[in-house]
Amino acid sequence: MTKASSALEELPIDVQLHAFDFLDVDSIGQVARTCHCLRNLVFSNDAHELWLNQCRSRWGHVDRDSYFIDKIDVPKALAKGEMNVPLLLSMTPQALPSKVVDKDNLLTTDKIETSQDQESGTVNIRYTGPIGEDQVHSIRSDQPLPRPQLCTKSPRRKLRLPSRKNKQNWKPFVAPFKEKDDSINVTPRTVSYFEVSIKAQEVEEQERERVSFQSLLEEQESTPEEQKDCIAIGLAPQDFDCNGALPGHDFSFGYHSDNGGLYHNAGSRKKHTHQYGPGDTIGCGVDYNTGGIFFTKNSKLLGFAWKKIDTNFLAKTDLYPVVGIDSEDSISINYGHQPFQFDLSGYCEQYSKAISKRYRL
Amino acid sequence: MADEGNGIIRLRSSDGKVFELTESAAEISELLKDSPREEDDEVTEIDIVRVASPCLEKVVEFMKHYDEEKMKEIPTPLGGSTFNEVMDQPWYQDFVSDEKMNRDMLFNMLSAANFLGIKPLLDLTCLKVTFQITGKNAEEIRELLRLPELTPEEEAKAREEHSWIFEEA
Repeated sequence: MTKASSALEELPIDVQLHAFDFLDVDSIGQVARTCHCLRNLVFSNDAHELWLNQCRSRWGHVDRDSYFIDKIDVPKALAKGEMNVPLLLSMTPQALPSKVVDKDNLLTTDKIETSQDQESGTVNIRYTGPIGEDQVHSIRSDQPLPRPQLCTKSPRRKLRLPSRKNKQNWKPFVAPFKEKDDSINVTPRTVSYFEVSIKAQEVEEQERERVSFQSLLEEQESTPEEQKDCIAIGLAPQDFDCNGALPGHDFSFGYHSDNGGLYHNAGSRKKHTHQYGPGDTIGCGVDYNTGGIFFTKNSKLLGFAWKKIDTNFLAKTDLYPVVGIDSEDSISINYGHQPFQFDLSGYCEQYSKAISKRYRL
Repeated sequence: MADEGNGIIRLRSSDGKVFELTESAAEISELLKDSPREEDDEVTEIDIVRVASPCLEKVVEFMKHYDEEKMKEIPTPLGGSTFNEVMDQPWYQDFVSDEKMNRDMLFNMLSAANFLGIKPLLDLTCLKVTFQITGKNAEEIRELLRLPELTPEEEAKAREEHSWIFEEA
């Protein structure tokens, strides 16, 4: 008891590990920095359960059958044959968007109605206030989209290729999203993304498709209605006033359903693309490599709405998924808890070489 | 077997002090539960040579109290950001927070809880350790746990293999 050595080190391995059970990833990282023995311990195969618990708490929506994929396959240092969970966890932000918040008390003033689909767990959101009036409303997510960090230093290993100077160097993040095969993708990426689905009205979705192809008459009937309603999907900084503006106003970015317009900053309309409405799923993403914001519609990439956005702005601004609803249609937001319609993984592949270069040992 | 829970168990520490508790209180310890009892005798003496008296005294205190008021299971992820938020039972809060519970005592307790197989005590002490470590940097943790410093070679190797743990938040 009077010995100067650490009492912790004298404990059996499983007890030592147990002592770290309740720590978060960052604290385990600090513990791993302290000494050789503890570092080897927390990165050894004995620590499997410790890291599994960490996956559960930071990656969320993880159950016993979940399996993770890392397409870049960041290198492992100690645990062989498995993915580098500690590194991937350390790249995951503390908080990721998971629901809409009651900003500006929309939910308590009964203007927004939510209901949860029992089967899929999807939350449907419906606006019940007056439509087409001057006062418009938006709903914002609880957390911003994850974003990569801009590194001022060059990566550890300098590129031998004669690359452009001052090339942006984004440190990727990990934000798990479900794939169509139910695996959970935790590949480091530099592209953030979410999707909004507008529930089809009355008619079944499959039927609706057939109807819209077959009957021009119905198509004409529905067009004027769509022009009256408007759903606006986009991104906004934290201070965006949800009560009184749709994304696209002030310093936000928005894609409006009624005329397919892309709006940014004080509502000045830039250009038009496809209109959208009930039954459609619209995706919105930020590609930090190009400094652009892109949209997708029913799994197809529509292209960039804005490009070369100021790097400093992107590096410092938390962008929140925002949906303006001036419509009776109910919508649901998917942050990756359900499979995306758009092939995000395929889109990110173009950057995988550059990202894996960062992590080559 | 006949007098299940009514007998007396005497625990003798490494420095020869004896602590008494009922069989029912000793049930929480896997080691004591399974240890052989003296036949036809109401009192069983067990030597706990791995634990010294100051620590054993606290452990017995824990077992006696646990017999009266069970400790709630600690949820993961933790349901709070401070020790007292996570552990909301006052007696257990005080148990690991009084002046006797210094750093050495805490780790001796951890060790004793493991040796005697007392899961709630192990959890409680681990939780305490967690909140001592959380928010501290590597230097401070090294000081707290009295760990040896890294040699420059070890540090270089660690930086190469696990660069992320050296990144500043």
